[in-house]
Amino acid sequence: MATSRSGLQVPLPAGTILLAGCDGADVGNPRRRVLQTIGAALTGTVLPVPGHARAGNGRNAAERAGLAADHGAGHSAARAGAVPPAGRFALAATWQDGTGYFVGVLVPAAGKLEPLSRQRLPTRAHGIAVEEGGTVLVAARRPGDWLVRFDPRRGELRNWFWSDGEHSFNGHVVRSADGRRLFTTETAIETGEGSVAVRDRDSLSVLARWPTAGKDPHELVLGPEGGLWVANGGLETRQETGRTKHHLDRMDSSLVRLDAGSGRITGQWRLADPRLGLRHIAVAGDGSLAIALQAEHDDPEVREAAPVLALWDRRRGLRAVDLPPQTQLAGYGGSVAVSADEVAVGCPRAGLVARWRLSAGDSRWQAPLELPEACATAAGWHGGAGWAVHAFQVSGDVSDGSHSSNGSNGSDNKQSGDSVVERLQVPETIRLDNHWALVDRAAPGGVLPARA
Amino acid sequence: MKSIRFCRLQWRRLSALASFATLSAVVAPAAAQLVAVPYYEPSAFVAALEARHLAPQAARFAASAGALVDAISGLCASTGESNQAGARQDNEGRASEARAQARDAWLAAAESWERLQAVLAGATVERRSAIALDFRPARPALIKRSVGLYGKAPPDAKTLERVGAPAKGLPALEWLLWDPDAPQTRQSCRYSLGLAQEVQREAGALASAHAADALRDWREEPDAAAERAAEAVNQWLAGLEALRWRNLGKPLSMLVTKDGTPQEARPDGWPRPSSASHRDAWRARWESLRSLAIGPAPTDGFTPQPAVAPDVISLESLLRGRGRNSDADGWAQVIMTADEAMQALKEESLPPSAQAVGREVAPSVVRPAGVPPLALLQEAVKALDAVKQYMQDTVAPGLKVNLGFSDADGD
Repeated sequence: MATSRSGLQVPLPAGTILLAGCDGADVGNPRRRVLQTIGAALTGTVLPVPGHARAGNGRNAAERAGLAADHGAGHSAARAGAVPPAGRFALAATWQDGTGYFVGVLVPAAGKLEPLSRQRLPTRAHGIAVEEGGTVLVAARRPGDWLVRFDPRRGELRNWFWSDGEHSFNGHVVRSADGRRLFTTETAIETGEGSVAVRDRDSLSVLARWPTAGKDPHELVLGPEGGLWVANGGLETRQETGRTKHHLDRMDSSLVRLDAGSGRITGQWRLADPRLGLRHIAVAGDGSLAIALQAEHDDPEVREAAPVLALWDRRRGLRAVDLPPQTQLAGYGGSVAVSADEVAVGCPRAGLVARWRLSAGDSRWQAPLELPEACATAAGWHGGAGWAVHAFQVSGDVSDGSHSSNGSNGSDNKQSGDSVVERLQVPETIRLDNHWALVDRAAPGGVLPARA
Repeated sequence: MKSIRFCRLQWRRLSALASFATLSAVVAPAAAQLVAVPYYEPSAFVAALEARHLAPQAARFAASAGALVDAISGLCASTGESNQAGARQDNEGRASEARAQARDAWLAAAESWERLQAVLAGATVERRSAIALDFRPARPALIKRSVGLYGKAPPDAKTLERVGAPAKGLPALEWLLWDPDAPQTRQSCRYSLGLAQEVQREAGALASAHAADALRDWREEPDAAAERAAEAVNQWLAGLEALRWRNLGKPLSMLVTKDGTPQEARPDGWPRPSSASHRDAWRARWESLRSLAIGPAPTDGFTPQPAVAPDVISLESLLRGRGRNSDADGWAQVIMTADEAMQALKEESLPPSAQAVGREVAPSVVRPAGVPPLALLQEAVKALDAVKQYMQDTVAPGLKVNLGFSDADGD
């Protein structure tokens, strides 16, 4: 999952609320605040946070949460005192149901995430990038034959680009910092070599192709310094043998940084354990990276207990983050997101959202969130099977256990440490893919990214 | 492929299990014959697969590739250039006849290759033969350039190493033999001959490798047998996916949208764009897949199992041998439903079920040559998708085979 300038993620500083009370009234009482929060989740309104929201600095919760602070697009509706319309935030997502594959927008409403608009896709879609103007780019994966632009307002698919037969899409796309180009990770069918295709924003056609110095490049993100980060998964798969993973003993996963203007590789890092596949990346506000891992060890016991998170920063480089003793996440991190000082990894095989608190290059394990088939993550929003959870942090002690219902059932709402967790029902027929992205429906132009 | 495991099966005798006598019979479990089905070891499954399917298919492919070389040699010999009108007319006649023979030879070679590649296993995987022989789509511009660079004599193996896959193999030959834009000169024919010889070399290597595998005593190599068996199941699914999506669903998706609006013309998305023999390709692959999917158990289970069963051991038989009779019934059902849909592609008929599916397709969409009604294609894709789902959800788990990636993988 991506971040920062990619427009895919919304970093949330600690102690802020994304979804809160309805009208900006008294939010000082923790219990009332939580209840307001739950209620607001049903309508998608945004409210300032006590102790911060109206602290005289003129910044509202959304701004301090990074919604408008770090990019030029801005979101005026979220300014202090304003009451954004209900259902402001939505999630661009891809999913399958019994009838096929879809891209669409899911909107929180009445304790549920309901499809607002959707369009059928020919095969599985994977990564998502939200553009200025609210359109959504979707890249195919296994088989990676197409890239398409989805317009949620019109419910239309536009700008189909079918692969040329010589390269396949690996499921992720990201916009350049100026929005004029797109980058997609791809694999050459004949040689298996990985590359980043530089594409024209409008036509989606290829302008240039840059090697990634590895196989199986997967997610790519733009760093704040202008570097283009790519996770080479390192697995060898072939078009003619479908899902088979070849030569795992030669697996070579790496993290590479490219110059986003020239494609020149400016750095490459590997983990000590070659069977840990680097696959999904999120960028923290300080430019450090969180990378979700997928283990490919032959020994099931080793695989089960394998780390699912690696961190990178300038000072310490790349390293895997060990799990606490007795903790097993099945060695599979399906996506990763960074919200302020918290990193979350969706672990569908463990049915958990694993969380760490980041501080000065160190990480501290947090209580995970239970969520069946948890995978898609985006700034505190986690998607799973039948449910999504929205986890956010509040100031003060809210652990009174009194906010236990959002109307669905008695155990829908939980709190974990200093986080409030809301649960929203996802239609049973929908099976989300790995990724989704938060979008701001109130921004000018309709469905706009919360972060451009 | 250590991530893939095929369970070590213990020989057992099971009785009173339903079977399906012929592949074309309509599945009717209630009337099924009750027979015993043995519990096949992976070594038995692999031995039969190699000896009764892969080795014969590879041998047929090698033979047809040899015939293709001969036919193109004949074509080159007939591609004369004469300034005399009479002689030129004679040459054209001979060339036309030779070209027809070369095309027939190509169709035969492509057919045998399609049957072999339906389930890639062993040497065909290791050598990446599908890339070397069948990289699609061919790139006409690259072929023309290669003809100019390397067509002075039939290019040998070393020369062809410098040529990219889109200008080699069977698709490039198809373009050279059929496409009206293809050059019909001595030089292009020499280049074609070099390509055909390359196909023959690869086919020969595959035939030798599979013949050797057919002679192995897989009972002495239980680990290798388990690995090969798991590979075969995985590759059966890969072969089905290639048929369902790459050969049918993808070109269909490229052609129409939901409301039937024509998309950009991409005739090279279809399996055989120049010869328009798509139906032959679909049929050959499907028949090969089907022959391994369902069919009666080749031994009765009450006598010691021979080293090599007299026929392939189908996935259906494997399921029945594990006592998964209900799963086997369901498997046979989805296979036969898909078979009906695939037969319809050949017969040009429009069954009632396809009419409903076809409502989304506007009549204005122009079908490329050799492509049946789009509603039939949609029906076939849908039926093959059901096979895929059943394989993923029921057959592979029932056989305790791990799929490398599955649809359940988030990636």
